[in-house]
Amino acid sequence: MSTDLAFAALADVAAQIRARQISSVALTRLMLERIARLNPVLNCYITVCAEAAMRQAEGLDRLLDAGTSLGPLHGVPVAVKDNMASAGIRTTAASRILANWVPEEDATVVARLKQAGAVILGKTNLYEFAFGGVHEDYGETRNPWDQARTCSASSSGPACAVAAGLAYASVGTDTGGSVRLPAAACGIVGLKPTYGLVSRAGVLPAGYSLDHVGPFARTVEDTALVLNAIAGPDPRDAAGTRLPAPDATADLGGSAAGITIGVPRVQESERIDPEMRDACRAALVALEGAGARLVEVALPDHLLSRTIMWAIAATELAESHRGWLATRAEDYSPVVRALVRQGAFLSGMDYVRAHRVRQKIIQDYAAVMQRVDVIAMPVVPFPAWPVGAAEVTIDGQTEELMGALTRYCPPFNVTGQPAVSVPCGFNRDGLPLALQIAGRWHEDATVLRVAEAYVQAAGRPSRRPDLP
Amino acid sequence: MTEPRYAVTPDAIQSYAALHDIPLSEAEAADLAGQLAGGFAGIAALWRIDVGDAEPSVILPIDRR
Repeated sequence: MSTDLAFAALADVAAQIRARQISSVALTRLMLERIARLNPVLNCYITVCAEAAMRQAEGLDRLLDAGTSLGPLHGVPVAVKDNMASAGIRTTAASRILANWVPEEDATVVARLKQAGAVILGKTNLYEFAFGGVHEDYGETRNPWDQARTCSASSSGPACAVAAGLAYASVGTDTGGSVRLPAAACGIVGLKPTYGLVSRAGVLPAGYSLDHVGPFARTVEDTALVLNAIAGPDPRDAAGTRLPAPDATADLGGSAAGITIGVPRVQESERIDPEMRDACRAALVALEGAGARLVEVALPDHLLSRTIMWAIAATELAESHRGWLATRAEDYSPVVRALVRQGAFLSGMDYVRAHRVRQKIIQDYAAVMQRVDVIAMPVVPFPAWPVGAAEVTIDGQTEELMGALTRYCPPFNVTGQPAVSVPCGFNRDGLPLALQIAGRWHEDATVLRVAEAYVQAAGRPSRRPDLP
Repeated sequence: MTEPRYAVTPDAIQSYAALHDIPLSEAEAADLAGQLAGGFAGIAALWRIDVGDAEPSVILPIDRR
């Protein structure tokens, strides 16, 4: 089996499976062989479900033999972030506290992947409880493009697995950027769907009202195919959509004709790496060439969204972790223990205030979205950073890493709008750069349409990480 | 709206922890006071914003179109 096959698009391998040109067993075996070889270097999987995956693949091949296809993901191996419950498979949230937790029931997103015929390869690494930092028991996931660097935020494992050809797609969670940031760092597509479009049932909460479940893949079409499989109403999710999910692949025509793109005015607090800035500007020019109209828009201060995200997520995290904070505080990593404790010290007044300002921000964004179809801006001010760094230097100025990291993503967790990270080139060190495209609520298909229009205009990337 | 002047001191942190039954040593309270100082400066900024037409009971953007 070739490396080319490991990096093929999900849609292509799924078509080959349906045409019986390749079996799900062969693809699953290919992925498991690569995981066995590369995971000791990359540390993106916490638990590999080799036997269960092979059994599942055999069953899916038999189904096809009998003339039954479960859909566009039939037989395709995928990965799942380890904060999503998986029946009979330990679900650690990369924590010592849940190191031996084996759920009895799948999270809805896991169940839906299985129902769509996807093979679950394993559970992938993350920041402890999807919040703040790495637990020493699990360690940092290494970036496939430069193993001395991180994969950025919480969903590091699912993003790394897809970027390294160790899964054809994966699912992660995004509370303040944790799908979009690792997608950007790893040079793949990552979508934070509209709030509530994908069920959070069975997913360990980081911040209830900010948590989103979303897909990673190497192409926009593959991202849309996974979204179709996992989106839609779920009675188990109290905050879930009540509306049927539209077909996310419907508008992937490659044109941006008729699309108005809002380009945010530069804010006082912004500092951005020049190569990232130039790559995002070039992407906008490419979209203009593909028929889009660019207009300048004024957005609320990004720093307000960051404060709101912290106030709400930390408080909601503290509430859900109160019991463990009282009895197992020493089992947290220092950074997550600190974050949970911080949330415990915000008052009810502050929490309500944060939600009221959140409403103001939602109103302001809604007004902007009446004028434009999407907003385009960077995902992150800089590319993947070295493992262990606490500060980053941008355009000659040094600032605290986490503050700089959470500049462009939190606004869309606060508003709940769909937002995608799409690769837009590489810097001179060979690190991926990325553009963020955000749309109106429940117009995830438009966001993906614009992302695909950019990819077609700029040319589909062919570069792969140089892996051992 | 009057902006709160948060007094983020180790003593205040310890008192709050005792009130809410949150186990916390003196050293941890001192650390936490340092960590929270910046966060509360951001929170204070939220109290400068006019939220007169922001309904506090509608806090989740479900099915917004």
